[in-house]
Amino acid sequence: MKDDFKRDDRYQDHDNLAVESYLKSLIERAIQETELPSESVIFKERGTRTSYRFPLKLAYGLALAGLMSALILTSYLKVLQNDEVLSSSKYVRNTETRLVVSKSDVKGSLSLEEYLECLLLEEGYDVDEDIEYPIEYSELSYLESYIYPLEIF
Amino acid sequence: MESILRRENLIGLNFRAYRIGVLSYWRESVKVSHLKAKLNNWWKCHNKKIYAFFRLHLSEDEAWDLYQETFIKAFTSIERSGDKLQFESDDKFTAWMMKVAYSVLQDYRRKRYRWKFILERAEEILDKLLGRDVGSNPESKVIESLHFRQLLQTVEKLSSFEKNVIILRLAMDMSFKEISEVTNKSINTCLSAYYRGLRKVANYLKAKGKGGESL
Repeated sequence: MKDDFKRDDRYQDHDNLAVESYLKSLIERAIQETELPSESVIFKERGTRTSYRFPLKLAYGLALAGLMSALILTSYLKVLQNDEVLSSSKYVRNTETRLVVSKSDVKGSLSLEEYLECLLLEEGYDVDEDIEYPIEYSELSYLESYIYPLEIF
Repeated sequence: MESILRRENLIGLNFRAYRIGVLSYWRESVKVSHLKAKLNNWWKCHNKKIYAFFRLHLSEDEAWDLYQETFIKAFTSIERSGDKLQFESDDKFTAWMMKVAYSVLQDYRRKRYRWKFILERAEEILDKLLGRDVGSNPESKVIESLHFRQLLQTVEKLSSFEKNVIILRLAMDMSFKEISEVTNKSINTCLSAYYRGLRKVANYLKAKGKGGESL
């Protein structure tokens, strides 16, 4: 810890020092033992601060099932996968989100759906057989009811 | 002949301008990608601390959302600012990142306060309509440790500013000067908040009776 203001007498208080070291070790342990998910997709609604977050696998399903068209997609879409940041195009036309993909195996510009389909295929899912397409969707609130069935993959 | 020479000169000039343009663009993009790489590396080291910073104030879901919002905000700031953003050292970068996180938290609070009652009511209605179990959260993947729960209990009585100063000081290892820059408060205000916070924690631990051994 940087000791920049030792002039203060309060530093000499043993109670303070003990609490400080107790808290520091508690914070360190708490942070160390916490596990954050590394895979998630953030869909940020254009022109607003609203964002939608999905686990990556759920997002594959949502995109493939066409549910993404129910969302107003996203001026900034970031995929955090394998600690890699993929930059997204700033210009989005309705649902036609184009991703500039910088992964070594997939290069160029892909639609969100194409990109997610690639990832899904990489993981060994058969797009036609493994995914059931929902019959109707029109509102964002319907999203909730699709989360559970889609969680199977 | 004269016109040809003039045209060649113009072409030469254009070509030079083009080269300068490309070079400056390239230099800028190198700087930006350097900053993005820096952000990536920094994030790998400190992402849990950022989550903890938000979690001390907010629910798990909200903390997770703001955690992502911070990354997006930092990332887009780097993209937009080009080579204007410069950091002399890693400490300066940490201070900048914490300033981003701090402003995300302040913005969220301001917005939430404004919409608090409407949002609470709307969520309640939505939960009923969708038959959602409020307690469960199938999307949540953050696994918090027992120590995390202990930490949340310990700092429960602290004010938001005291929590901020404590986490910036003890988790991010920042000096009081840096903390005052991040929070836009004077150094003395930060010092007072920090020691007031420590005193409250000491009182909590003494009252609990378990802290005596740790202290």
